Amino acid sequence: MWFSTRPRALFAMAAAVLLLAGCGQAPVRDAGTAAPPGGGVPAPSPAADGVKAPAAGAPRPATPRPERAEEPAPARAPAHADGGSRSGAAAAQELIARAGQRFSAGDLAGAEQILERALRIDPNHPVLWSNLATLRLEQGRPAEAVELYRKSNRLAGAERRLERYNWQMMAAALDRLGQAGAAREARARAGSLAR
Amino acid sequence: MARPTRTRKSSRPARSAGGAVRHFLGRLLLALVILGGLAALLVTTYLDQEVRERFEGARWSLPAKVHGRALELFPGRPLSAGAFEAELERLGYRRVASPDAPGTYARAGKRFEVHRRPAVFADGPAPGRRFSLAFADGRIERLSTGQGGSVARLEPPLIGSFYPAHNEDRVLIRLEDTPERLVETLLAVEDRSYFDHWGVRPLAILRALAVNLRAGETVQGGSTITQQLVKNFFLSNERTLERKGIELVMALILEWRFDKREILEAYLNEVYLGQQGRRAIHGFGLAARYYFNRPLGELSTDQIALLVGMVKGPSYYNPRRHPERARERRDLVLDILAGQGVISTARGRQLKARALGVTASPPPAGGRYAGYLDLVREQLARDYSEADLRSQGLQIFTTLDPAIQETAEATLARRLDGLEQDRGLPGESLQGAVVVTHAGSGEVLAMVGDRRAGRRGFNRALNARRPVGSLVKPFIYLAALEDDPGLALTTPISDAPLRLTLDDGDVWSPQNYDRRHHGEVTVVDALAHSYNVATARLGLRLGTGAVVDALQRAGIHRPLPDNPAMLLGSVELTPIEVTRAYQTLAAGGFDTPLRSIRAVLDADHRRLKRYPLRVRQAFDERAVYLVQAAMREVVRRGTAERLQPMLPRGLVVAGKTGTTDDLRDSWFAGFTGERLAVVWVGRDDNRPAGLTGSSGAMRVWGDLFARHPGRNILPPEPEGLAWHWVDPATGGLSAEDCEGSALLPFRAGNAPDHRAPCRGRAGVPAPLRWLQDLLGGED
Repeated sequence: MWFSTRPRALFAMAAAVLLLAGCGQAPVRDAGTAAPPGGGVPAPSPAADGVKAPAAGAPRPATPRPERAEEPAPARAPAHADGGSRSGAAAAQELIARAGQRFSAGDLAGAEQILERALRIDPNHPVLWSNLATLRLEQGRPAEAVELYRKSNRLAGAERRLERYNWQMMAAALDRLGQAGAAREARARAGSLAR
Repeated sequence: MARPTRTRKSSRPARSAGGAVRHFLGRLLLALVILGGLAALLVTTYLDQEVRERFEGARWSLPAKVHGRALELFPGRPLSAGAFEAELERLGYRRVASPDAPGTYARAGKRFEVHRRPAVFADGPAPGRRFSLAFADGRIERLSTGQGGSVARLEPPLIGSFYPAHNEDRVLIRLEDTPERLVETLLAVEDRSYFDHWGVRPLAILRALAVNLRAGETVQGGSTITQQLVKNFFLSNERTLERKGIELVMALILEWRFDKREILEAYLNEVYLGQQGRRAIHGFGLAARYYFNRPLGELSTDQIALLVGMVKGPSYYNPRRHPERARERRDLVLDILAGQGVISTARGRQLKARALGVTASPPPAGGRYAGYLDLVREQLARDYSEADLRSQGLQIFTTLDPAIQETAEATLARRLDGLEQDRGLPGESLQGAVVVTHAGSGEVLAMVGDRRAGRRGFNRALNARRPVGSLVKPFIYLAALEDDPGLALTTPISDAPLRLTLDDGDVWSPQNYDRRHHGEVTVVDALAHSYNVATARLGLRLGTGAVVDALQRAGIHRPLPDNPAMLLGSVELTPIEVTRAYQTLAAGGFDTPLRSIRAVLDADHRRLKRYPLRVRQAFDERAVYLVQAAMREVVRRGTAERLQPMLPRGLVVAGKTGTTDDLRDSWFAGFTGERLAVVWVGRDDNRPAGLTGSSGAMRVWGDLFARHPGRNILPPEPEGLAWHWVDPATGGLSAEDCEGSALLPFRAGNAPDHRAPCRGRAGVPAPLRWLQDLLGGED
């Protein structure tokens, strides 16, 4: 069994946590309800060609408001209206760390509860979903883990390293499920992201 | 009881008559004594067994306690100071100058300092904690836990209980957790020599007997705590001499067999302290919650005096119904305490000046939020028997958000009243249902199954199966976008008249709501304006089987009709099923089962069962993202555009209206990045309600999200998409400042290849916009 030892899983978890800490520019998701002018609005394009290349990972507001078009154009689409920090991100981060401690102590159910708590606070946090997947793998539920890694990748945006890690883990989970073909594919995806 | 009878005849020959009689009487007496002794022994043995059986082990069937979610606190969370204080009040926190004791808080303007109680959470018990927080602009601005953390929570509120079949409800307390003052007061009033007697006080009984004989009725009890416990615990309520005898014997047995402290603890939990309908309030632990909405440990001396005073007659001294009597009784108890030197006379005077402090009304028996509890019960029934739920003292932690639940209940009731008045409909003719979930996790935050939320009975959210009308459309578009990677939101489809001859020879010819045909329309406009004919054409091209498949992948498990009429929403679903399907859309195509229970702990806080989060990717993420974008257009300029003015500016909402034939059902399903809600409005008798999706259900939805917009989390964008400004009417490329243009996502290579004429430049005068709104199509 490739994944039967705890240290490896532990490392995986820690790696995922570090990953996010390392990439400070997490994809932004919170537009803020009480948006100050300009918040969440893409820069107006001087060229009326109708085409705008989106900044990687930046979400689009559904409702561009013409009356805000005269706001100064931000260099990158600002993700946020509430001052640049995703609300709840720090809280989620703290809970992820706490869950990591429970995980190290072998309290998987406890770690899971805390991760779910974090998820209510920051539902689109990709690392959170990845850790939840790792936890499932450790609990011996690889099928569920695969789906959770998928979910993490869905939210990973421009986080290439996380995405690559998720594909690698997914490959391992698929191996466990005896799905060699799918596992090979997942490894290939991971490999393609390495470059 | 055995009574000697003349069944045994002497077999010996008779002696002299007198001697024989004497002899017979002597023998009879002896027999009587022996039999009497034997009977007494038998009775005592029997009673002893009875006492031991009932007193050892689990003494009570303990109700399952149902808790709501714990309020999470972290900087940036949208929450007003008022809403936060409402939560503290819901939990029975007291506002004080300095929060030194658990269960108290201080407030200065928008700054709070809270002393949280030690509490049990879904993940186990946690100690008490102090933290402070400050609010600004409707958010938590700052949180300081003293331990450098950036997250804290309040304990989960108790929202209901499933109490035992005999309707006894209680909150079990242990003697070591019982306030000393309660024990002092109880003994001072009810049984001063409790720790010295053997269970009975013969002198007191004689005295009481004398008083009662003189009065000709029972006026004085003279019962010890032990006797009272026996009376409540083992015996029925009749007052006969025989029963009194049994009571005495049992009291002695109890004292002989068990420890004083154990008996006292049982008494504290058993004593009857009130009635709410069929629910009997037992024990001081529950009484503290029932009358003061506080844990027992936080009661003040005067409040304890009130409860102890009520032991004598809980309904006669009911402080809610008879406040004067209750007050007199409480003051008497306080006098006794002062008289015995437990408190000073001056303190007694002070305490007597206080108001009773009882909450105006208790929470309804069984709990508030009846609609939500139905869901909890249904989910629990899969894992637990009814008997266990009502007897094992389970601690059930649900995902209910009381603030959202209360708003959902109130807005549904108010809106339906308003709609009936505005439209001259008979009062109480409309009904409705609301389900609210957390978009990311599928946790059910609120559920209302009746416009009168407190009413128990038919839960429409769970059980009212209705045609869903246009709510089915997003799934048709989703299936089509998934099926054909070349399909874009700007691809034209024909809305021209459609006639289809069915297998049985009937002709099916769908109509638009406005009875007009719109020629060539784009995919996004067909959904935004809910054009039936164009959608039917798209669905037929795709095949109805694919639509059924999409609904099933989204989480609908009931068999669905596979016919053309289902494309226009003839399929009948309950609001909770609709929620399940829309949850999959809100969660980016990941099927996320709805959950109302996070964990179940046993009476000792051990984790029995977890209900872990599960997800499964059910749809291509890009197809889902395109549908979400089109659903945002529904709200921005389609059938739900009148929703926007109701909401905070900039809140990004994707939604869909639904209306069925003859305006029988009014639906709205919509979500932000944080929450999803589905609303149904209609009539129980299935007659026309006269409401479209946007004039009925959508209003309720808007009221709810106006109060609880939550965070404006944008849906994460999948890779491989590009954004273009387009003219949604023609599908050509446009520019941001062209009138009516929309910014839409496209899959790679799917961007429009032609340019639309730019109709006017931005800065369209406001009245024109208004006119356009006025003409905007209905469902």
